[in-house]
Amino acid sequence: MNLLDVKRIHMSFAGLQVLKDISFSLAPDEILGVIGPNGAGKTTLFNLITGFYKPPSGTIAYDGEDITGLPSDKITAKGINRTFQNVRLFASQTVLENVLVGMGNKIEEPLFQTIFRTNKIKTNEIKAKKAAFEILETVGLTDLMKERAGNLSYGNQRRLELARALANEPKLLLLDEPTAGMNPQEAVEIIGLVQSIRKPGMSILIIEHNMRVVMNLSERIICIEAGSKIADGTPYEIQHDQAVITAYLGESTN
Amino acid sequence: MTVETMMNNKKTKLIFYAVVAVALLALPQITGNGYLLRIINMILIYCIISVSINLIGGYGGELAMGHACYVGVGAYTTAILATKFSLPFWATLPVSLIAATVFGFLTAILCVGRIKGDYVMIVTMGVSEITRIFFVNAANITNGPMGIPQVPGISLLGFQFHTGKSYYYLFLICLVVTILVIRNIVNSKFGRDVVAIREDKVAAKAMGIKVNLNKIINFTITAFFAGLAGVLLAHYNQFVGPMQFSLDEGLLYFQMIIIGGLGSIPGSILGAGILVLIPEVFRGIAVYRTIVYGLIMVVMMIVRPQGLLGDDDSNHVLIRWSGQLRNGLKRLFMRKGAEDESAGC
Repeated sequence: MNLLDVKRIHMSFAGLQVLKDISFSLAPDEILGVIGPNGAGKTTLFNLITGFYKPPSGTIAYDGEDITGLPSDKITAKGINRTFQNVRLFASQTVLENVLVGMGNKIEEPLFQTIFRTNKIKTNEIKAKKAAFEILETVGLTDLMKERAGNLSYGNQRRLELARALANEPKLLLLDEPTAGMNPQEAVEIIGLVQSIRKPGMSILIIEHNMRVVMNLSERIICIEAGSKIADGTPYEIQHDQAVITAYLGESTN
Repeated sequence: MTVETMMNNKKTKLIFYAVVAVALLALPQITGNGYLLRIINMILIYCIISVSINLIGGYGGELAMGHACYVGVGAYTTAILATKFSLPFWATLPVSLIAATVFGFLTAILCVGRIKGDYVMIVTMGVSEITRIFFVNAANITNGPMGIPQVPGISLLGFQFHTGKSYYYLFLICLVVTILVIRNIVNSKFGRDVVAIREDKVAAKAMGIKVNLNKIINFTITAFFAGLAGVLLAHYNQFVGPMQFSLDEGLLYFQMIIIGGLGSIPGSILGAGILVLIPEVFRGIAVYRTIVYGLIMVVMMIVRPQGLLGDDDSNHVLIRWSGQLRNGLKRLFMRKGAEDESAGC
């Protein structure tokens, strides 16, 4: 059974058709790349899956369950988490706090007990902080744990965003251009990082412009152009697909 | 930095708290029961309000400027129950707290979803003003503009509070409880979510935070403490009147956290202290109070929008506005300079 099934999704903003009849699926443990020129509708696709927009038609099924149009907090609780194209951290909170917020419902703290800070709350807080520390270890940010997120370097902010998305142990991780704005060296590090966080029971959907990154990472790629899916296949197939080449380079004159 | 590292030391921290505790316990012995203690008691009540309001206004970044009405509902409920129905304090207190909390909850529902930023300010101020008009006009319940005189003092467990000293210790206990509760909330999942929503609502949603529910609960908690302050105020002053809960009053609470520090509990206390003391110290020029407050606010918004002890670089709406204000001023003066130059040519 597929982890994610997107069927015949349409989306338009004020009459402008952004996505037309997009269908694709994602198998468990798979890394699926989404490529396409700027403005093709890739991020809109992410926003639909994570519940920020409600599609006027089409369905999104996750783990055999229809999640179309659910509010984003419910979708996150089901085990889908994401990063953003333009880094969106909680800038005035510390690195550790950012991860703790990302853990969401993994931290069980009923408000009534919070008010009196019962022993249960205290032990849960310690447990949560330990778990957050371990996640920071995987991305290598433990030294900067108490630093404010807004003071981190750009590369480290990207790492933190990844750590925050991993915090609630998602079954489906959506990465929106993880190497955007990075130099080649930093991009290589992020690829290594994404490969290292990969584990059974987690699928990754990755939007990327950097072709080297996406070809290396993904097992399968779909290409979107002007809101329509024009190709779906292995990296090798995509590299030799005439429609993809046309979308990126234009048509040959003869 | 050195002060901070010192404060992180557990032993120094303990000594610091012990010294503060002894000083606070001994304070009324030094001041006596007079005018000075009365001002200190008022500061304590205002601290309860400002510390709790910081949860929504500072940590939460919502411009809830109408909290005078929850103080008012708390004060009026206890006053009416105590005078017209002669109910004892242990009965009026919970009823008044519930009334203020429920009223806060109902307002909070209006302030979520599409209503955000400055519109929260307008809604809360509107509700506050409606409540005051109700106090003035529902004369058969609230005694109208005359207010309710002769509210009995607090008597609890057979102990009758009547001296300033006894009230001082009661208010101090209430304030300490308020501070502990707010601190516990801030240092928990709920509190972190509150700040996360202020910093980036979209990302907070993506982390699975129920943004609207969080805001409603937050608002309701602050209304509860405002109600508590109102109950204390009514019995301490032995009088309740509509002018005590005007729009100015709600703005005053917010000014306290702006001056003291957005998202800072010590800041809230400092702000309440400063703004209660100013009119007492400058009694001679009390007429110009609002002008002085206005000037302080304008200067603070330009120079230090996060308040004296507040967070440096938060995404609080007031700090964003302050940035825009500073940019605007800069552009204004730079353009003026440019024009002068061109005129000189």
